[in-house]
Amino acid sequence: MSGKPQVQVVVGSRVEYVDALHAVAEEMAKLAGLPEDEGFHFALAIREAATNAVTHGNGQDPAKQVTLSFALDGGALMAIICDQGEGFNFEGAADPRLPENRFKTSGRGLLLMRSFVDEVTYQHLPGKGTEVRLVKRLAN
Amino acid sequence: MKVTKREYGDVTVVDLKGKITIGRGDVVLRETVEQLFDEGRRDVLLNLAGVSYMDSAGIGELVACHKRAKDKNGRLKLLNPSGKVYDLLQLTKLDEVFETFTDEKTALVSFNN
Repeated sequence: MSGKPQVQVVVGSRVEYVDALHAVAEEMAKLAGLPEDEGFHFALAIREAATNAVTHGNGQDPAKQVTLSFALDGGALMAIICDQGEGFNFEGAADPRLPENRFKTSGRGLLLMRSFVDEVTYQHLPGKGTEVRLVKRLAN
Repeated sequence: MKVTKREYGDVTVVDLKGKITIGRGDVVLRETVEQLFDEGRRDVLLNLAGVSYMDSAGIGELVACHKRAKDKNGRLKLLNPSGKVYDLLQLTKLDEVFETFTDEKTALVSFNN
């Protein structure tokens, strides 16, 4: 998907701002014409990525920014979440559904993201931070 | 998130209304359940009928409450999770962890076992 960001929101890394990013994601889902349940899931996936960026990526350092961008083209709605942290290990995340992990009190965000959008990709850019892309394909 | 507590014998029913999400709802849930166990209450039924949704932090706090109950030799069960909340419990396989009811009387009676 090559579309440039059409909506961009930048916030400091405070947990209180996750609600605001979630609200923007809900509006973008409506603009994209997603059905209610798919829009709910899309926005929840964005919420999880934003929470990761604020807490794990930027360590809730209010001086570090989280940038959430959306691009909507004919076939998909894409969200990009960037933090300014040192990166975290997506591949090392344990499956929270396994019996031995069910009583852990964290580690479910990535499962929600992967369950609720069609693509989740990420890259750590040394010296810059982590960029997570979530793509929701739109029905024709 | 709004919280109302009702007592039926040894069981406390906690009616939750709102969303259980990072920074607010999860904190309210933690403080509410901690307070109950600190007061010596042991059996807790969380009524989720008024909970519109949870995020992963809220789900994690539910698990923490479950562990807290175990640590205190108590029991924590769920009542009437909405469709979206129940879907999240299923997705995370926590429907296999929590005893969940759709009828309050049945839930209350289950604590007698």
